[in-house]
Amino acid sequence: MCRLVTLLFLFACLTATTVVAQVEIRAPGQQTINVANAELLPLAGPAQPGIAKELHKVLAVDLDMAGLFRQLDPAAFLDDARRPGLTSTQVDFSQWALLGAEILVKGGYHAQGDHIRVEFRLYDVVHRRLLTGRSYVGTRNDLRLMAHKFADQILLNVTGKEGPFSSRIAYIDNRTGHKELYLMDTDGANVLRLTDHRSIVLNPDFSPSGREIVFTSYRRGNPDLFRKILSTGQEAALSSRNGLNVSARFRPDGRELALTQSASGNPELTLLGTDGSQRRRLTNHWGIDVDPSWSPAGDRLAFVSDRQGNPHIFIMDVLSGQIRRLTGSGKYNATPAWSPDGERIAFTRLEGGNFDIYSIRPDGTDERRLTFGAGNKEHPRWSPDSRFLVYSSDQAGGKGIYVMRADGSGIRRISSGGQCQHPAWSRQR
Amino acid sequence: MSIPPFAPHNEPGLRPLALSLTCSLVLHAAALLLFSGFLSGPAPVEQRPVYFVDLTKMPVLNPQAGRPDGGPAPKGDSALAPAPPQPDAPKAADAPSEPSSPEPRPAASTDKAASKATVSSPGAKPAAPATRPAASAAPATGDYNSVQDKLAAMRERQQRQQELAALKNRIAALSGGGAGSATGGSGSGYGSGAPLGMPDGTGTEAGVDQQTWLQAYLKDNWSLSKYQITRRDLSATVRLAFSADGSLISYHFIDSSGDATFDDSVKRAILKAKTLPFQPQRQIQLDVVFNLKDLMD
Repeated sequence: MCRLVTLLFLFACLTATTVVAQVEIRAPGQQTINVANAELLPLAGPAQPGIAKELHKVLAVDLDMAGLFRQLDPAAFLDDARRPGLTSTQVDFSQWALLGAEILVKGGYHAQGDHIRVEFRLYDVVHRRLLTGRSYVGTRNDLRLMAHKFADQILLNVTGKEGPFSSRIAYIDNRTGHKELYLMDTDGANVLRLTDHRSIVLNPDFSPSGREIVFTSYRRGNPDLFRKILSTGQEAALSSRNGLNVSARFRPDGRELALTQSASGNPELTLLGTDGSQRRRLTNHWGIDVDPSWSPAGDRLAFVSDRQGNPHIFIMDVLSGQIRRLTGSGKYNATPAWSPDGERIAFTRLEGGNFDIYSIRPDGTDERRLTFGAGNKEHPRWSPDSRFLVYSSDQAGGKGIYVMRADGSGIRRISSGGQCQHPAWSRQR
Repeated sequence: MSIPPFAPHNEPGLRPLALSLTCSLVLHAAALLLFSGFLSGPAPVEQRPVYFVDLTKMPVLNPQAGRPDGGPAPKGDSALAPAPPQPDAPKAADAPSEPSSPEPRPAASTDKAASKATVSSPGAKPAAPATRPAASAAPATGDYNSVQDKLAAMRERQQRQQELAALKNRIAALSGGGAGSATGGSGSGYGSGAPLGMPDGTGTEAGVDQQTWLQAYLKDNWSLSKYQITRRDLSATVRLAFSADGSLISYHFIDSSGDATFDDSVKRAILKAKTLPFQPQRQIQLDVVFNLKDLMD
């Protein structure tokens, strides 16, 4: 009897085990990260508001462009923003948590004449810890670069992938009356003219190292391919064959270039050594084959061809020479650009009298239109982290260089004046 | 032939049967006692559901709706909804456009309005038949007292109707403009941005249960940008334990997503919500699944 009661009791106990409730949260409540970007404070000597403000402004623009942050209003900052804190023990995290900040940028600077040392710190307010710190040394002219570099570090810490803000953008501008090659920061600052050909310069592309740039120039009357070393300014013709020598793109390993040549009478894709040697012809078709763009592995090329009637994007396996059509829609698709992460190919499509930018997966699926509205949007190129696209547009009157996120959001004009086109984003600075 | 008296105990063959019958009775009684709670001590106090009504953070604009998408309200809602004034407005607007028959139209429209009101509001039902006989019965009777009585009764009914209408207006004002205007509440409620119902669609006028509130609270504290992740099929399950005073006792990942950024964002959400703004009075244990099924592009 007792045994039976005990057994029954045990059975009751076992069946009465606590059942833990389960809830599902199907999307984050906030899709931005609250960041407090405090102005840097003088580490020694008198305060120089100009330095702090410039650093703060450049960083704020970069963080805004990234699209994943919500920057808290500095007017709401409490007294910890006025206390220099280069270690996590010196920061009053409770103040920042009160404001809802999740990450915090603090730091200081020390200026001695033209020589400046800038200390940036990125803190995780929730975990109350230092995420990363950088100490930059340079001159006053380097202030913007310091802020850009730290913005890259912030993205690296928050997303695991470094930002592109310290890289540069090359483009063609006719502000002198001639189409010349220029260089600028990703926010449009520090414009620098690279060529003085007094002719027509087109279609630049950076080498993977970022130290060289190739472009087409009509300097000698023929569209020849030139190569320029950025640090020394040295320049040399790379391909001067009769006819076109245009739209050259460095292979990701930096050892070869693909370009369009028309020495045979018909524009075909050709492989060229970095010393200008002809390696091999890639296409041999009566159609026009132009605008090559390498896959990140360097084994495939996206290019434009009218071999099936209208201009469309095709993909070629470089080793086997097999070609397949990528775009099925539209009647005029042009200027493909393969993203550095290999996920998507951006291109332009002429529809309704205007060019707009689209992107598609390399397997031909998931085509998305990225730009809308009046004006042409042309020549898209990817940022080295595949987060952004740079392109030229006449949407606001006069051709300008624009940057947007890969999903088409956050469009902003970065060039000012002139007639700017053919942008190219460097992979490294 | 005489029948022997019934004496089972004296019959040796019936003893085992009696024994087994007794055992069966005892066992059944024990089982009954066990499951009735006699052996398991005093009966447990009934756990009444505890509702947590957050009037500042996550108010329920129109709790009767009980749906986050502002879908059809439950039937009970119609009883609380004020008599719709809409029929009057279009009719008034129609009148000037057709001046040829100005008199009959308003009369017809008021009839329609009255009939509509009776359909939508049960409380108004007796009003329509009450007013019509009153208007027609007055000249029909000659008895002064009976007329006075009827007039008094009519006044009482009218007063009741006015009180009822005032009450409905008040309810409508408190619920932010009624079901029809729940998303565009007019000032008196929680504002147009206030959520309608709760994530699981179980809001009532009493508020929401703790579990649902916690779900919304954790979601509020979870921040993750679409630009931080490359995949949308990430999911992590975390077991949370909160003490009776509302502080986080422990958390551990039952199942992580494998994506460091995603898992870190979940950890941040939990740490941000580590102190509840109320005391739940008892320990809470909860498995929370974080995923991106509803993340918009």
